[in-house]
Amino acid sequence: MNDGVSTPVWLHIGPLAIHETVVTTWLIMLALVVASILMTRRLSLQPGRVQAMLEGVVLTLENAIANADSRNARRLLPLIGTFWIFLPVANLLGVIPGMHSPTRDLSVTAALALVVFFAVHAYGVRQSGLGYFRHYLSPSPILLPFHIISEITRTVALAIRLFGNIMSLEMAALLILLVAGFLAPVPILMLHIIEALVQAYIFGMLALIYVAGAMQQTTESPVTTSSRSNSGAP
Amino acid sequence: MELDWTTVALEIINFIILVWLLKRFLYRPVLNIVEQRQANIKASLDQARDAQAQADALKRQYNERLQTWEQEKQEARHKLQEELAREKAGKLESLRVRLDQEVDKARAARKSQNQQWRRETTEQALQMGAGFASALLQPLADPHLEERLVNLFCERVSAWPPERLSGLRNGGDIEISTAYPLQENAQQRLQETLQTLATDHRSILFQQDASLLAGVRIASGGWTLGLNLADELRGFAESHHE
Repeated sequence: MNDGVSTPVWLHIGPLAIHETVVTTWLIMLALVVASILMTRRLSLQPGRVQAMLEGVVLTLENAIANADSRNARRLLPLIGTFWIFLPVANLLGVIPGMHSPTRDLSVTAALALVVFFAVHAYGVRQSGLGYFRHYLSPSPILLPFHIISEITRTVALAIRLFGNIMSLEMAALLILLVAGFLAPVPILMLHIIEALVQAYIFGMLALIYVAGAMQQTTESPVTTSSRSNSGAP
Repeated sequence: MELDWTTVALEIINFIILVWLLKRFLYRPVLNIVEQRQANIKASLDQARDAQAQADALKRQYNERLQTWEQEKQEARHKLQEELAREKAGKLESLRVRLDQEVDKARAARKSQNQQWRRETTEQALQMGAGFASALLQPLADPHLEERLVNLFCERVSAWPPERLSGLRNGGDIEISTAYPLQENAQQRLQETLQTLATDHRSILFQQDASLLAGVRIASGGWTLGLNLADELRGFAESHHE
């Protein structure tokens, strides 16, 4: 029985159990990629409405990234831009009756948080080499455990924050539907739309700040960056 | 709420693939076309800037050429004005000379005309005067007048210098013409006077000529001398020719 929190298994491939959220993610991926291919196959120097909208979206994403790290905006665009495109779609999928947001599954949000965690270090090492890890000993080696705890907690916070918000919204809508009946959850669904967009923005912005902070270790303290980043999140 | 590591792993792989796919099919094409458009715009701007620079250069060159032309024009105009002034001064001087010449010619012509007119007027006046005098004296002419004229002739001719009487002295016989027949004493007085003046003996012939009106005319060879109204009036009428 579905408890509203755990996700059902759709199929087994050998020892691997493929859950509903994975399939939903594939569908979202397929939709995004097909839409991208369809919209970008006839790009011209004289843009039409669709192309203008597409360019507006991509350039807005790039400008938003450039506001945090103007030097590496182009390099960070694929990762952060994909967060800002994938997460709104994934979060809003729960609004459609009969479907569930992949991000109501902790495994999905954990996976995304892990992507951020590894991406931070990957971009940091790529930017500064192995010397990137010296910032864990800064300003004093005594603070190394606190740095490590900070890395773990902010990754966990990323996963839990997104999972908690989306799961709670879907759960609330489900409970209201069960208690009050048809159309009663509409207000909570409207809140779901707003919350879905806000959470997608927060997740992408935090990921951007973490990655940009890692790439700017030579000029900015990572402790300051991470603590500032965590402080404003709901 | 449980963590399924298979799902975690698959979702990580899914997301990485999605990043790659979107980079391949969304970000790169869109950014490429934007960059291409920006490059085109930049090229257009550069081209426009080059065209602007060329236009500025052409404008500057044109302005410089205009200034040069203006300067040359001013110089040419100044030179032309100087030449015109010089030419004008020369023409004016030439005209002034010609005008002076014309004025002199006009003045001379006028003077000549005046002289001609005066001569003609004088001649007419003299002829009229002679006519009037002739008409006036003709009724007055009589032997007494002629006698007085003979006496006057004798007095005047006696006072003449000798060289004026050379024609008489070198001539032949003397012919004495009078308008009226001379009295005996008048003839004698004339004979004596002429004999004295001629210094030698000449034959003297008296004859009458009514055209003289009154008075006497002495002729000897080609030499003629007299004092009579006809000759005097003719001499008066022809006096302006002398």
